[in-house]
Amino acid sequence: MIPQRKIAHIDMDCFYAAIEIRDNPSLQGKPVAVGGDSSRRGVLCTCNYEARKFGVHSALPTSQAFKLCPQLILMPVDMPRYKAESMKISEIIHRFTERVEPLSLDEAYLDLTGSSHFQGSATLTVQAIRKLIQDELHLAASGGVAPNKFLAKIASDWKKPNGFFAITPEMIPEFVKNLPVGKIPGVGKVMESRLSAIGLKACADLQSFGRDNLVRKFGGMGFRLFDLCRGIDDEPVVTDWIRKSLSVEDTFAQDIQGAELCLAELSKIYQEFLRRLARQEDNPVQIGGRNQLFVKIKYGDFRQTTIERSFPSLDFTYFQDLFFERYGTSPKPIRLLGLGLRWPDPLDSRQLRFDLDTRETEDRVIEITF
Amino acid sequence: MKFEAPKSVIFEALQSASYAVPNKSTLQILNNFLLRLEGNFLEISATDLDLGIRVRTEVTGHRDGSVVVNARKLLDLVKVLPDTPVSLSVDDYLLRISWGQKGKASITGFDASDFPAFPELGEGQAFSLNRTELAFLADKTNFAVSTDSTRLTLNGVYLESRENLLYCVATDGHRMGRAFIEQEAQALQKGIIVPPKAISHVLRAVGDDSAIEIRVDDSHILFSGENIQVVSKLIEGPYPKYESVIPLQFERTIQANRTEFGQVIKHVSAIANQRTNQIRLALEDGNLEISASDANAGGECRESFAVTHQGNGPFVIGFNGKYLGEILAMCPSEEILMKLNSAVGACVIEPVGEGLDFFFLLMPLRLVDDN
Repeated sequence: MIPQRKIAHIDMDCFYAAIEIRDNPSLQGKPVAVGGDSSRRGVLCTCNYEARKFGVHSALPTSQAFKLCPQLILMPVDMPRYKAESMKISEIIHRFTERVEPLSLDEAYLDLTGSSHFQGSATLTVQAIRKLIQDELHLAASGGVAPNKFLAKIASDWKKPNGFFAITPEMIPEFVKNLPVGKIPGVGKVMESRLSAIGLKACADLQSFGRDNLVRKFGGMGFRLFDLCRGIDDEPVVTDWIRKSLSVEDTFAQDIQGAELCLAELSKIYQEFLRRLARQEDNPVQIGGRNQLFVKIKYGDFRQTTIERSFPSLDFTYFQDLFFERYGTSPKPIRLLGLGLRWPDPLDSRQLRFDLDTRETEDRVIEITF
Repeated sequence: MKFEAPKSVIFEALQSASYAVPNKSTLQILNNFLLRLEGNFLEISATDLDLGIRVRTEVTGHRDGSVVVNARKLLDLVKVLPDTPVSLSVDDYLLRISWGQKGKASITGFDASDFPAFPELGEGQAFSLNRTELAFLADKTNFAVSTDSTRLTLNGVYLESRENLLYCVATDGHRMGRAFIEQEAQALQKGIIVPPKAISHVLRAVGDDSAIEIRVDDSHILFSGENIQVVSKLIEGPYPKYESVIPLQFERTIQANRTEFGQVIKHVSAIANQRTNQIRLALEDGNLEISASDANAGGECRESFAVTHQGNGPFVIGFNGKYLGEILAMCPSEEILMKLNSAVGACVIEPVGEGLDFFFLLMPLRLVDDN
């Protein structure tokens, strides 16, 4: 017998807006949206729950949003920043499983079937991921667990925002009965109204139709409808993820300054890095070989720099050297420290590189609007 | 919808569009073609949401309409049909295909309104190139595009205008290619990073000297050829400041016959370690010796030839033989020039006497003692 799958769906709550509010606490409690300017006929990417109370929603033209909610605070879209946060979330998720299918920057499916974490409890794993995202990134994630992707996504939406819901195999028949057809992926507004016009409102109504009948009425979509209205979905979690690097970083509650303090923090981060490295199935460190190590520093003014070089082994002193090389003679307050190891590319262990990367990140200033 | 056309006409159009169909997509709808008939013109679209292709071809139309149908199935069927007229028609969601006297097939389709719309570009810039020019820019840079997903900006070719010159650059951190063409006016206000796939689809689909219209807005680039449109998302920048790694002064130059150089690299590479492709170049007076050995497999190869050398004393440098061979093959000239500083610094490689509209940059391999 094929073991019952355990699929999780993690969905960040109003992700872009949540990042803006986190980084600018004065926005707290106010209706906030992220999107394009109304003067350029922009639309909203997302908005927080305060804004939703006014009927504002994502994909709404910005000009209309202001009509519904004149006090709406509109933040410009800052994709590089959202991507960076998304990568941090991905890193947290990858501490638990590598079978991850990202759908966009703010949601992903996880296949937790046969996982060794929490004695195989998908519920406890998802709760742990949500807590880490909250503790480390100060962002809220909703989570759902179910035997397939379709129901996992519905589950994560069930108790939103900042909620969790699990659908066990036993619950499925009862659960899908009352599920509105509009919740089925692929059923958009148009199809929903077509279904509704012939009296099909909930999955239970769809269940009374035979497969042939559904295909005749709805084309190829009929096959999917037949399965989904019964809670059946065999779509696998598709992952093409290959680990390219392992890194650990820490953002400090208050900026830190002074070589001694920075080294103490860097050392703590290194210890955590070693713990995570030990959990890897294949340890990439080559003794006597070349290991690409890097240190990342983000200063109090949000300027960020990364320095990377190869070393013959893994040792804290190398990170220390990299840190001082960049921190150098003008020690400024530091907001974030990180260090890591890039997995070797087996094809070019000795192939020299242009010094492109550090120049690239050094010049990039991440702007935060206050 | 109902039309007919020779099999070859339908097949060619389907095949051109099929390059945009993703190999594996979790979004079912993307595994399909959108077929739309208006009068005597059939339009076939496919997209993976990052890149879209729209092909137009002339058929004998009987009834306008549209359908979304599984791309793989339709393409596989049409491919193996005999070279006769093929007729396609849609009833409800059923696409019926018929050929010859008795051949009939049907594929269940989907509602056309479910198919993602072809992106409409916002305000931006427009310019045109002919196919030869675009092919030249792509040929000299495509080899260096990175596939490393942790450095997304390097996953595309960088196009930028400086006055009336349009530059194209790509680098994966080890290699770089840069080429430029002259334009009547400045084509781009700011640089853009274009996925190389988009360009190769355009080049594959348009005829030899056809003109290609290019439009660019903040997020997309649209290439329009005679019967095809390719639209692609741009890769978000900024592109690294690549120019800072191009050396401007050199301590040493080597001028060599390109064919001879290329042949010797081939001989030596055959014996080189297959994982590193390491070859060793040793220069003494006017003699360049290229050698390789493979400590793991055992074996060794060396060959030397005369070059024109400017610089002080003997010199040794290592390269990935595959990289160096590839670059030499892209220089059409009889002679090539290598410009160097040290055994660990970037090396410029350019053709001699072909104008200076392109050059390559290659980083060495750090030599270890298995040579």
